[in-house]
Amino acid sequence: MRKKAAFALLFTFAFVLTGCMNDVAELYEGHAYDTGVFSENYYSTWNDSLKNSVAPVAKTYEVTAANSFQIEQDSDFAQLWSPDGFADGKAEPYYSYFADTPHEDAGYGYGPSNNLIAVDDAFARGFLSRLYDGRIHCDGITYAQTRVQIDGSGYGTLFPKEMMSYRYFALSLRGADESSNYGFAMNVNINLTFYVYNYDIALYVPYLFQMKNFPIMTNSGGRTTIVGFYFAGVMGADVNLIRRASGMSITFSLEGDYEDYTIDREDTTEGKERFALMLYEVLLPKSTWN
Amino acid sequence: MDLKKRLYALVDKYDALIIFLVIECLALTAFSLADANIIFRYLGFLISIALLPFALMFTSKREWLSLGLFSIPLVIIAFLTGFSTFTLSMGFGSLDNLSVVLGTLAFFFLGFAVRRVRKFKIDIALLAIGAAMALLVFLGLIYSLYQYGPFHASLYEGLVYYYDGRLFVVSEETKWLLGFSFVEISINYVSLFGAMLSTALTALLYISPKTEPRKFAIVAVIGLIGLLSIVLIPNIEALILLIPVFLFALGYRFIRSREKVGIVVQYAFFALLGIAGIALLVVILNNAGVSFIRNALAGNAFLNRLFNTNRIMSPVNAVLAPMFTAGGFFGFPITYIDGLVANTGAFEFEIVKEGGLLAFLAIIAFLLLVIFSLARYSAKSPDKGHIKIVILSLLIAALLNGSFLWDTFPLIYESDYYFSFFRSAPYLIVLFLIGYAYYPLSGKPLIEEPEEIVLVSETTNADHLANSDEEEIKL
Repeated sequence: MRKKAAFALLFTFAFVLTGCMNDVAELYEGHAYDTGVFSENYYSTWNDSLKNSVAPVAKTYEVTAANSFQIEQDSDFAQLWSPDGFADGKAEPYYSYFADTPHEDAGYGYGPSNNLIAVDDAFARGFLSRLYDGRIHCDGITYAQTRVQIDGSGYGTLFPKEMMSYRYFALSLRGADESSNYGFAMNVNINLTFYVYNYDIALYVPYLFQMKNFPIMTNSGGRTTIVGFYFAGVMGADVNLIRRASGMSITFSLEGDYEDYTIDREDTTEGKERFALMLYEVLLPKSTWN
Repeated sequence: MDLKKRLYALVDKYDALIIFLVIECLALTAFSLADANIIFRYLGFLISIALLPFALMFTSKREWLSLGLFSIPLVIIAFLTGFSTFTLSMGFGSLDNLSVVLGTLAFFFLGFAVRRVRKFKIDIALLAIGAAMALLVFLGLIYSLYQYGPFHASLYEGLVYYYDGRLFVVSEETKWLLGFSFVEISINYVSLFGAMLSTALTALLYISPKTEPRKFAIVAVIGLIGLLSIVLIPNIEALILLIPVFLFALGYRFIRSREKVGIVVQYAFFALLGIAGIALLVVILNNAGVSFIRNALAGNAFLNRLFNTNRIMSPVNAVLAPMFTAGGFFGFPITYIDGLVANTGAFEFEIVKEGGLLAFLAIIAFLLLVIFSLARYSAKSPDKGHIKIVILSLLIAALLNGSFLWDTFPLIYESDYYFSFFRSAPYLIVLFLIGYAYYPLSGKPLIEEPEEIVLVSETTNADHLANSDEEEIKL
């Protein structure tokens, strides 16, 4: 009798376990966001919590050319605080910007050495793993599968864990429109927000980083610009405020005279060129997660 | 005579230990503990050496001769899947390659020799294999249900997810314990284990739940775990391949006038064999570049479709054609990338990549010999019905799955990691069972001769046995 009961319990337990189903939580039809048609590939998903359970912005920080870095070639890694730009983490030479391979080969190339999946493999699952996989520009193999295309309203996501410590933020991106014009720069304002959950009020508290007037390579094929900043450099004494951040969102606008462009994916005004940001990588090097 | 005496004493003294080691080795292999097949192959080899005295004493000269002929293709397979252009260029390592040679021969020999150990009971060995493999499959099944829920391959058919920035089709994968961690693996790979386990259910046709309730329950659980591992995914192709296995089992159990039916089946079998043989010959000549065959096939739309352009033949041709080049004669080098990545789904053709033309011919010959050997085992062996039906069903299931659903790149996230059928745990288990069920192509095994039964019943007296003038026992 006891054996029968044990077997029944085991069997029941097996089926109770089926409630999790993590691996089918985020499924897509076919090649989602990768159809080859510009207007079909916008990723505009905002996590419900970041739409409905958000407190007013707690603090806003300005990120400008003075307290940020912008990398487009190997020598630009010198802008990073020592020793972050060094390939071996100790001394020169700097990273090779173009020697960028998937993160399995960590230690070779900037992206593969600093990507979030390498930091914590909890970031590996989901569509946004494209932004955490270490491919900081088009690698000539996966093409569109490397990037996330956003319009001005951007996207908002929760991290799989809470960020316990952090050093600097970097974003690898380029601009894109539907024209055949190749290789020019567009000035972009990027609003980067980190969300810290406040258990007392049961809301996500936003901390906004306004990255102003960054020239971004546009229609540049696989080439990208890396923009970023050091949290300590921008937040100063406030640097601990975003500890335990568990969400992030990115929106953007154009800075300057771009009347012929629209950043709204729904805008069908004749004569307006749709402009999108192609995000290749979100990096939080040397961060820790729990 | 002294040597004889000593051997009998040795055999009598250590048979229990040997049986324990054999069962242990089989259970570890079936469970694929730590994915350390290389260790199990060497372990099998060492145990097979310990079994040599048993084989020497209880095998007639005629059997040795028959076994020698039977083993020729297996020896070729063992050497060419161990050491070939392919294995060298893949960099498997000498110890690993050597283990394949020794392990292939050893597991076959284990089955052959352990049958000559008087106290050995194949029931126990089959239960050990079944229980160990069922545990492996059960762990994967539970974790798979936990992560995907039941019937995920149907419910989410064609849907994709992203992992590490890459796109994967969720209905093509399931979870599997590989080494000490769970990995995502193709559903066809897991179904081979599931199909092998499912054949335990065929034994229930012979075991009475009233008189042997415990055995019935254990066998039922083992079989059900295998069946559920296929049904709960579900892998429809694997389920379809189980139909002929269960039909065979039902026929084997319930068709009374077996001799009459046997003749019909024999004729049908030989007819099918003839057609398959001719088709295979055409395929081989086509790939060998025999111009009149090639032109005849290419010039006829139907034949061209049948032999060249369908989804089954395209990868087969991609594998067979390089076999006739100098570089691919002993297996493919890494530079024959088209041939290497062409997934034929059949171990009979995958062996071409690994061992080349000779290995391919050897496996065809070996399969034919095994079929004849099993037919004789089925008809003549005194083994109980539930043993025979499980062994035969299991080998048929392994053959069907290995011939249609074998996946050489089953790891989902490490899609360039080559899985060789001839280095897998199921292959070793299958070899053991082929060895066990081996029946000389003429006559009976010595252990089944009436004189031998008398002889065996008197083995408690080693002296008496050693002094007997049994002519068949030759040292």
